[in-house]
Amino acid sequence: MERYRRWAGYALRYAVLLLLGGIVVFPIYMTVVNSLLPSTTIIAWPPELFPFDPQWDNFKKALDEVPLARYMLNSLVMSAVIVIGQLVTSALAAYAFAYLRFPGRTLLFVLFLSTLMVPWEVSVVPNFQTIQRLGWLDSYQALTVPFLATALGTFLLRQHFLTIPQELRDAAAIDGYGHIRFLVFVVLPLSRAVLAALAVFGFLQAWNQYLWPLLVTNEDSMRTVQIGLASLRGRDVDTFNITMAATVISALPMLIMLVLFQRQLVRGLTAGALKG
Amino acid sequence: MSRVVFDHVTKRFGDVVAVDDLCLEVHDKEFLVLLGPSGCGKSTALRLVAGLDQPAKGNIIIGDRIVNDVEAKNRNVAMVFQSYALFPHMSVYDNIAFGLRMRHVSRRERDQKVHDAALMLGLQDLLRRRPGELSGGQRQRVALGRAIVRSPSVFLMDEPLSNLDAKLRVQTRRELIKLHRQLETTVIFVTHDQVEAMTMGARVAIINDGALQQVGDPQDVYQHPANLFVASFIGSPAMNFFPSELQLQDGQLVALCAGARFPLGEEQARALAGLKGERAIIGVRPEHILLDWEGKEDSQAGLDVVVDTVESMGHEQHVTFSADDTTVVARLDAERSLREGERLRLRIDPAHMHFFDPETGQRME
Amino acid sequence: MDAANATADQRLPLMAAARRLPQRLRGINRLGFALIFLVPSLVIFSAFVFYPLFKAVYLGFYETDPFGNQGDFVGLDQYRSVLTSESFRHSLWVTFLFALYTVPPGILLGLALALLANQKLPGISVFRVMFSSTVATSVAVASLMWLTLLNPSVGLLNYFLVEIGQPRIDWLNNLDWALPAVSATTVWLNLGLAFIVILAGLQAIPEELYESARVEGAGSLSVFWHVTLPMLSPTLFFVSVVGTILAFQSFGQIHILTRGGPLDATTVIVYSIWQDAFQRFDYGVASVQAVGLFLLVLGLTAVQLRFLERRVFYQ
Repeated sequence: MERYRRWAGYALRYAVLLLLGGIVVFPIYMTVVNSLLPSTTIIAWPPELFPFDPQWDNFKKALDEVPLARYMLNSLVMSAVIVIGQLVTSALAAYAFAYLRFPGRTLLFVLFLSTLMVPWEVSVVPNFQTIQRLGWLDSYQALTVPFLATALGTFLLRQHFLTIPQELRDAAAIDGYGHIRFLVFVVLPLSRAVLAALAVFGFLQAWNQYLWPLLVTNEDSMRTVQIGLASLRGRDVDTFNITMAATVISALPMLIMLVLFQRQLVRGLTAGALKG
Repeated sequence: MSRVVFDHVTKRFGDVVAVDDLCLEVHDKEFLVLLGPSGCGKSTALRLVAGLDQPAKGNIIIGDRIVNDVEAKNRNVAMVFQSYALFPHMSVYDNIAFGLRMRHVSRRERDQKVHDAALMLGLQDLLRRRPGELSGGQRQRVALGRAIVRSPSVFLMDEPLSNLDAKLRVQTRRELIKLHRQLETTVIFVTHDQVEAMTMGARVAIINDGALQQVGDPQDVYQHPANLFVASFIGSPAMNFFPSELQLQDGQLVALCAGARFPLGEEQARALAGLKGERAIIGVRPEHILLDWEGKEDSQAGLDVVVDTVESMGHEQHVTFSADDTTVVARLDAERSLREGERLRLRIDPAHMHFFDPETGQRME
Repeated sequence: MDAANATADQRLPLMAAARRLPQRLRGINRLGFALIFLVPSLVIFSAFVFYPLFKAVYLGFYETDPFGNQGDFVGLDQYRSVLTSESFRHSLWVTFLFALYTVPPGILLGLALALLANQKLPGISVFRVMFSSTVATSVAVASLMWLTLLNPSVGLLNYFLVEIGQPRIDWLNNLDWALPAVSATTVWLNLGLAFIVILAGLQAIPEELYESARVEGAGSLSVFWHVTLPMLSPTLFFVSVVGTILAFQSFGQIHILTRGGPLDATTVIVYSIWQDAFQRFDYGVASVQAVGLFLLVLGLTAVQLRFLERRVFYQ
């Protein structure tokens, strides 16, 4: 009797998980379905739930009609540069705050943290004017330079650096390591988990940016995926399948990375990066 | 009646057998120690009694009833975890009172019991503090308090002393023994430290690879180890082992090993009489290795060795000798100091040789 | 101190040389050295965070002509008129509703999913991937996905409505439903990340605490209330504060789904700022709203820190 109850309990749990998982994934599922439907079926009623006649052609059409490759390249370059820039600037700053003693250290640290209080959207108008004046509109610089520093990253890295035992610092000093060598060869390798978490979230944030790329890019050749895709919103309903195909292509890299790295993502967070 | 019985209990995790057909009875009010190396299954066995895991086969019996399907909270057992598992966000008072709250004990009664337990453990002044503000020893006592306050039928303790420093450990050991005498409840105590096991337990059950190796009082286990594992696990420094062959010489049963010929003690010669020509592993504890000073004895009944290292313990010395391909460790009194490289001759006290079957590892009687 | 550092200093010539300088110069020297590490970040922050904040306040003091050029100095008058205007108060209200529709449901759903996905069941990773999948969709991707679902003529949501005998709704053009629809999209978009963060928080809770509670007699509900929730409070607090700040910065999904309409029903503050600055080129008015947004976010964070943090348990 107990056995039976246990199996029923398991079945219920899986049923709930399946139902909720299904609901969460549903929009993604429908998008994939719609991307494979022919234009006649996409406007059909009731809406088709499964592509019985998959139009793989839609993807080719999407790539032809929309410069997706260019958009994705722009997003990729922008996000990669931002992430690398953030890791470098925040690692350097965190090192200074953790290991160097200098007058005004606390003041400067508070100054860094204060930038967290200023939402990006508040500074958007003057920043746009700055970019305009520098002649950087429609350039990679405009997309990347304003985001190359991160106070949150500096803070998290500093917290982590402080947990590295003093003995390592002493041993390195005895071995003749200067600050840069110590940072590069000892501190950074020990901070891999935090750096990885920052890189992933930094990349996500950069990839997701909407307002800023909208403002500083006009040329199709410089537009990012977000803006490029958004421009498809006004198309006729009967070309929705192409729009959906473009959406699937844009989402694919991220979805694949998620499936592969789901566990690392959670682990990177538990590595103390986001405690309190 | 709060005895605990493991009735042919088996527990598997995937392919790994954590507990293998365990048959063991813990008597009412007894302090039994489950001893064994890391990963031997002793903690798993404890968790089966607590109800945190279910056995794959066999029955767990507490008192008179089979509790396999009884939930942990209804088994009336209390458990002290290795890391104490105190609720960090609750005060000491609330931690101790937690179990009583869960059982809907009235506030007045709760208050009374918590204060009684706190008094018994010296925690009266710490009741408002949080676990994070306490020392390791204090935290351990809070964990004990939480366990005592419910007056359970069985106490389960999973290596509660391993996180304490050496001095505190010794002190707490004594306190636990006193506490047990006061409370008169059955205790199952898990540890990998044989000193703890030998000093605390009324009986010791030694477990390896999920299987019960031997159970008995500490003296018994020490003097009559049931197999090679128990013989090597109990006793520090560990027992010496010599592969040997039993032969009849001049009408006497002797053991040939390491190039020497050792006569057997009378009792053993009688017990092993039928085994001439058989191979056996001889186990000899370091305190039963003797120096043959003047070589007076039968020249063949001695082992020629060279002193390898000497560790002085103050009142005695532990000397490691090497001979051919064997090493021998002996506990000798500190009267004569030995030097590295010195050549000596050793004897074995014939009354204290243990014989083990080389195939099964079991004791040969 | 000197004995221990002597050897170190022999090998770090800069530090050794610095030690021989008089006290005050030593301080400046150390600051100078530290600045090398800090300058990259400081330059970026100064140019793109500090300067613009002051510039925004400054811009608010000036009227802007229809071509976007700086006009007359009007001092605090523009601040007063904009911040008390009907349109600002409206966008404030919309933003507030939007935050209400997205932050608490987001946390509750994220918590529910995380609790379900924290069980030790075979194959649970599959469900974890499913629950976190929205993390891989970006603002534009999610908005387009929901655009299809919300489509009045061919969208699935309307299909369900018709099936249960209700009339179709033109979600994104409906005065009552536009904001909830955009909010639903936002909740879905952020669900993956909320799930991952809360799940990480859950997994950081030591298993032994649960076991201890069970042995002590706690049922599932008691375990949740006395163990899970308190131990999770820092994570939930973090999600709440960050979630609110992000809610107030939302723009993308509104721009794609409704363009702020219908009739400004989904015009949140950021959208209003964008409209004023980059459609009407009225930088002055836009800047005043930006400063208003800044103070609002600051205030909200302070309120949360004050009232909520009290119930958070830190280790």
